[in-house]
Amino acid sequence: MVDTCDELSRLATYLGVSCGKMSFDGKEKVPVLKVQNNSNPKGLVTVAKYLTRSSQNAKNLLGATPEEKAAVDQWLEYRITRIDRSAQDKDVTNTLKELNHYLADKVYIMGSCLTLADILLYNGLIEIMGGLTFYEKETFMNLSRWFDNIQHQPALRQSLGLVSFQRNQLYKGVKVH
Amino acid sequence: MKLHTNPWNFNSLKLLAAAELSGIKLEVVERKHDDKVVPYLTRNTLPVLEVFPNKFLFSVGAATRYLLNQQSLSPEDDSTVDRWLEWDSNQLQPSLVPYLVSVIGQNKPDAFLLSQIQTLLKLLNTELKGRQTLTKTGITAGDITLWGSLYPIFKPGKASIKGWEGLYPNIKAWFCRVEEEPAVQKSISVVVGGKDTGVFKDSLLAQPVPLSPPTPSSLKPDKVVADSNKKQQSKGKPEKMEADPAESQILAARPVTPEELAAAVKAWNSGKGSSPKVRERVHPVLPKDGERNIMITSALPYVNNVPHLGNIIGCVLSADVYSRYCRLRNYNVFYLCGTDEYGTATETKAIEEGLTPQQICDKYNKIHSDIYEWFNIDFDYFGRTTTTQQTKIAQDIFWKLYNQGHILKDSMEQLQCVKCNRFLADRFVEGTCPLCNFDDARGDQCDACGKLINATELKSPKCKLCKSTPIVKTSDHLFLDLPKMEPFLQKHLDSAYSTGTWSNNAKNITNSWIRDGLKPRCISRDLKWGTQVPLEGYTDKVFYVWFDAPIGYISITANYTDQWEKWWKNPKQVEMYNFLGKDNVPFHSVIFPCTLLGADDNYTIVNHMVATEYLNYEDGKFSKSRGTGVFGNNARDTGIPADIYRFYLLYVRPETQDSSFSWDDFLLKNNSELLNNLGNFINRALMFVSNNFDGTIQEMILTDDDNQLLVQVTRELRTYIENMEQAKIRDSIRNILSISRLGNQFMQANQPWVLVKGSDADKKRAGSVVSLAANISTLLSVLLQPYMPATSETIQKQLNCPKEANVVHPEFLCHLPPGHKIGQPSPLFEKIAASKMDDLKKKFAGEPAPEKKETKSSKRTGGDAAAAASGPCDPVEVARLTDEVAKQGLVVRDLKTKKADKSEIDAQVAKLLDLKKRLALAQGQNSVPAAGGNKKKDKKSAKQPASGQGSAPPASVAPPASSNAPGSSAEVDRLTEEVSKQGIMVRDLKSKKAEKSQIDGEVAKLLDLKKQLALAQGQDPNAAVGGGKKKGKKK
Repeated sequence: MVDTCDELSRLATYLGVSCGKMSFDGKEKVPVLKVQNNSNPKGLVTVAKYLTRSSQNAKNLLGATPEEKAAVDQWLEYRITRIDRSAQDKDVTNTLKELNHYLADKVYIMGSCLTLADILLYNGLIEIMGGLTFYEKETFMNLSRWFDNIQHQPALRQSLGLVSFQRNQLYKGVKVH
Repeated sequence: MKLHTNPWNFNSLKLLAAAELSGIKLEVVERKHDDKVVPYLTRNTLPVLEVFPNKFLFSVGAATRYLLNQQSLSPEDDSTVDRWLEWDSNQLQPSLVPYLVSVIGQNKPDAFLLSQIQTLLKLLNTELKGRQTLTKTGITAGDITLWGSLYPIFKPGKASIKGWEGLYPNIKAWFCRVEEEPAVQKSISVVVGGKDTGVFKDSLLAQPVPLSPPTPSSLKPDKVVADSNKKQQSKGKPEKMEADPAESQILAARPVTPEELAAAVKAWNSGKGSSPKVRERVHPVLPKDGERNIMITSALPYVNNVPHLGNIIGCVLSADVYSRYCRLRNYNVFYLCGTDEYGTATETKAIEEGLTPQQICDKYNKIHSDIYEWFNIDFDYFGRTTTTQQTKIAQDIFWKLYNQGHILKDSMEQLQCVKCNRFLADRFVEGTCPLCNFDDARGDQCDACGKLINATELKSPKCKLCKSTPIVKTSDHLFLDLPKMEPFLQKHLDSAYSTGTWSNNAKNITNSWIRDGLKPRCISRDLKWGTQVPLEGYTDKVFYVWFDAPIGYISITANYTDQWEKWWKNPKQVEMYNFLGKDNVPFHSVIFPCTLLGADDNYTIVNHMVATEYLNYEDGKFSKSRGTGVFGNNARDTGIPADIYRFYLLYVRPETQDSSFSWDDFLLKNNSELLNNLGNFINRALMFVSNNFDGTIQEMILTDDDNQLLVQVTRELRTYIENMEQAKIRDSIRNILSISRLGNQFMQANQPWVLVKGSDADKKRAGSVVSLAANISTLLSVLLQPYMPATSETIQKQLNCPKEANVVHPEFLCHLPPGHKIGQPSPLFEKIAASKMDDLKKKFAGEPAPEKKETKSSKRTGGDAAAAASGPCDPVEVARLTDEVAKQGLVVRDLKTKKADKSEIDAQVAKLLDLKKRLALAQGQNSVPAAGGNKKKDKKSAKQPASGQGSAPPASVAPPASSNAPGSSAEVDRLTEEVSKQGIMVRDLKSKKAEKSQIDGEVAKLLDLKKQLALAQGQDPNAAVGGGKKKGKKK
């Protein structure tokens, strides 16, 4: 399980904002941020978006157009409802298949720009990607390409380790979707 | 923009409402339930918003917000909206959707999911306090999304939560506010069209269910299966009703290693010869050299409380499972228990019932042992504490403590009621709280401010029984010097904690007692019913029950065998397990060990302590007085076998936190786990052997897959043993059910019913399969024995299983070799109908629990509640109370004839009325006050038992508390008026020379009214009537 509070502090660092008073609500099992106007954003996605908004130069991380904003929301939701809950083999497989298919024609989740969706999906997938064999990484070629791209941004990865990918195709006849 | 949706998908409500609010025209494309619209998704997720050609939004929350943003109706930058959309998808949907599937789709509402949903609703209700929408800016995407999600459980239909409007008033206000929007109404009419929520059924069953939050045991697998052709261990159809989703993950989780395979096959092939011999049980059971000697105690149930299911699972049943397990492991086990009989409560009950305390104990001890016998509790000995051995041993221990200087003398102030000639226990004193002036405080704690007080501190204290004022008397008492024993206790506990099995709550409670600082504890009491204190000057006192009762364990053993010291003065050879509820922990882990350590005679002291939390009843408490919950023989009367109760209670055993007995859950577990899982597997396997192979076990030639099965079964078996050794009784049940599940999957995968119709080779394979299944059934029967002994025996009879199989051994062996003939198979369990559950729920619901404060005060005034009492009618109790009422009625009449002191009469009348109330309650009558005429009916019910009928007057009603107090002046005024009115009418009739029968009728009414008036005035009604009659005549 990803440590959400850790993740949020890394995000805050990346955004250049202070992550403030973060705590963890045991009942709902989500992170909470205590803020001045008492709106107290609760939940990983909510806190992440709040931090993003409070950053001066990062407004576009949430999407430039209304359609993009909705799409970013959608993938953030995907992170917490699908990726974080893929415990069984078949769920993980399906999740990876879906992302791989989706990313076939995109550099980033939103196409050509980095958004919060990339960051949170990256965080959620570190463990899974780290556990794949090279064969499997090749099977999900687009996903691997995207992941490798994101992880090579030092400001995002910070102190985490790199998941290794092979650049040249190792396996013959791998069905790349 | 296009909206792709399947018909009657409740999520579409949100999108249509949002579009309508924003004035956006959506082109609705109707899809089939399992259409995959979004190309990159693997699931048929619907509804989906197609924003641009081929650009989809599959998240309903995000799409709803997007639609509302078009008109700036949902602020983009609002964290509150973020939060509630996240809450909807992360918290609500994962419980809500499977619940809807279970109730609308499958007609089997999942109680656990429902309770999760209710917790979430409570939170939402709190958050919505004082607001009509989630944010201050009006209706946002958060409101629309949550409204749509909650639509199915709030609107008419199967899934509707009963009484939600009252339970969650803030949500109701909010929900209605949202529904005021015409856009919302339009959406409802388009999607639902005036029908109830049942229309969502097909969509619910077809649509993918949200993934559930990870449970602790569901770890991510190490390897991701990229190639779906890889052989999965769990072949065959997946279970539809997973009792515990985490389990199936564990099963498929770790691949089988070659070492495990080799070991399992070897064990299998070695046959039953390698099984340890079954141990014979010979009484008296005594410790033996070289063996593991285990003494198991269950907390002694207090004799005059009829045990309810919570008591039973807390002690005797848990200990029973463990002791049966130990016997199957060939340990040398001695399991003892008995009734704890001394103490104030027994004395009081004896007076109430007009018997001696000894007679009470005899009576109730039998009730207890009958109940435990029905539940199949296999004690080695079930005794009682009122024996000469108890006196002997307790006094002996006392002298040892005294001679070692561990007994202190001190005096205490206590309240004594002169009239009743007794020292009053705290709960028999009532008065005004010295701290907050609440005038109904009890002698140990004030109900209003909750502070602990001493009875002597109460202002204007009164004896609860006779209402007279008690006097303060100083009494000398003896104290056990606990602080002196502390270092020895700590030393013992340090060693016991590290080597023994202690449940967490036992450790925590013990540690906090010690941390708070041990104080000298008073071990004597001014009572008559108890073990006499032998010390000169204190011989009119008895030992305090909590000093005396644990010594009961020793004396009960002494009554079992005169070699009791082999168990009790033998710490090197004997391990002692205490099973108890958590409220008894300090007495077993601190006081009793200190007693024994102080007596310093090589006593065996507790090594392992297993304490349970509380079992609630349907989310409330068991309550004898309100008739809530299943008590004593009630279980037997339901017609459901004891084994089923055992199974369920152990399944929900409150080990780490409180749990709840729920009839719905009971039904579910019986029908899904016992019937469909366990019973189904065993029955199928045996029927097959019986019908197709002449009841004879066939040759078993195991394939690779079969060997894998052996390993998996072995794993579960070993985990079972591991769990049981640590007294993790609940977890072990799941191992049994897992093995059974593996068995079912095995049968499903191999399909012997098809093979049997095939070639010779196929038939041989079928024989192999079902014979292996029969052997698995044998293993199951053994592992099941501690939990369901009668069922285990039945299974073994059906298997014609040799007695030697009854050993729990960490290898899965073949106990039924080829050629073995089985017995006659038949279904093991019966389905319980949902209607039966409803009946049982009603039967045991009792009166609803009033507010906490009122509970106490209403208990004092006789336990009335406004609602109808529908508790079970205990005929023993009814007869007893009827007698009491009769006796008390005579007392009252006597006093009045003697023209005794008014206060005295008042007190006795109060007692009489109280008894009548309890009688009415025990008869399960409606306690709604009838308009007037209360006293009249009251009087009648008093008269009838006196004339020997003893049956419940049909229409009479227990009078309500407040208006009943004799001498209530409002009542007196009212009745006086009635009497005079009626008197006038009678006079009138007589002067008119009306029909005699008519006059008589009215006269009777008049006389009755006068009786009531007299009662209200606290006078003898007969006297008043006599006088009244005369007066009437004179007039």
